[in-house]
Amino acid sequence: MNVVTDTENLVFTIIAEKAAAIIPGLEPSSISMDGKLEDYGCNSIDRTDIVWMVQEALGLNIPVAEFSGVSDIRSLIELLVRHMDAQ
Amino acid sequence: MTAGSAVAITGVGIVSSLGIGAKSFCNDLMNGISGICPNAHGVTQVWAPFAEFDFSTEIKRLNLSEDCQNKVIRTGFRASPPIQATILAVAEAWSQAELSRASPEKIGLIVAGSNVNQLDVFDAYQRSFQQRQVRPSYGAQFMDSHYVGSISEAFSINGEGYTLGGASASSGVALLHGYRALHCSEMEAMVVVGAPMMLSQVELNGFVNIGAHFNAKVPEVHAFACRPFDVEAAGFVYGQGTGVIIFQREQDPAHRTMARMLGGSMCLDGNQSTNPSVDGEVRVMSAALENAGII
Repeated sequence: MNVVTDTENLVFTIIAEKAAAIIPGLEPSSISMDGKLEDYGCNSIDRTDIVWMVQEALGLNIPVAEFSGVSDIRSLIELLVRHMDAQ
Repeated sequence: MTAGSAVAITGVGIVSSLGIGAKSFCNDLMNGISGICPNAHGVTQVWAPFAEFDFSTEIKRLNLSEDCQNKVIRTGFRASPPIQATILAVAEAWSQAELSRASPEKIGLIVAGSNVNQLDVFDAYQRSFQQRQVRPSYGAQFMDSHYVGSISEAFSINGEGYTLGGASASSGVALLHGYRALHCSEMEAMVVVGAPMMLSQVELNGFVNIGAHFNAKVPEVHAFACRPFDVEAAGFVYGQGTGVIIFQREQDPAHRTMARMLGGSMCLDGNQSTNPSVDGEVRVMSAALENAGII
């Protein structure tokens, strides 16, 4: 089982909050770190907006190309945390 | 439908600085209530901004089917405030016209206005200059046609649809096109939308500098800043609002006719400035009366 750090938890909470701000009726608590944003009704534009909103909240400015390997919420968190650590 | 026959207005919706709903808007106008207020941090001294509202709550107040409500909320939930206001105004008119019963392919949509979202354009440029990322959805939303897409998605409108620009006269031009569409197309209903003009400080600066926007001493009664046709007129006051009219063919007995449009006309003065032309006004008014069969 993966150990989730405090930073990863913080990033996950922000992702869940932003997704809930985009999708009506979506509760942040219903989102799983093992899921995909797609599973919660987010279309491609929703997903890019959520990533942008999370970056805004974390003060990050990651080149778009780096997101090409992101396939689910967990890999998104990993990428964001890697950039937070590098800052 | 024969040329020159009347079309029925079967739905009306308004969201403005005075709040939500055509009826309350009308009452406020009759009672001389104005949405003009001081603009503490803006380029202009006074303005009339949109009233605040909660989108989902207001949509649920309207007499729409549950399916329609859910779809409207799904589309509007994440939208910017001016798009939410516009969708809300369409929803008000839609609930009156009971368009959910009409065939989606026979409902058309015209969104009046051009360059309507300068506020977001300004924000995106600012971010770009600061080397910050622009919100991704801006790429799909900076065009006026985004209003057409959003409204068509929210209300499942599958007939013809487009934006139409005519500066301050955009809504008038769109009404005439909506009227004509019922005479010369397969459409059975036309949703005509006056989109809100979201100006940034750049456009407002231009209006102030050209002398078009009010920039004098703010009167004690803020509404008196805006006094067209008055000897003390000192320019317009920027206000935010959106209005919707739904046209349907008069012969259809299924709907309630609130008013009729008998005809219309428009013309140009061959002039790029904004000054009025008595000759042009007389010409277009005469043509409109003639088109409507009144003279």
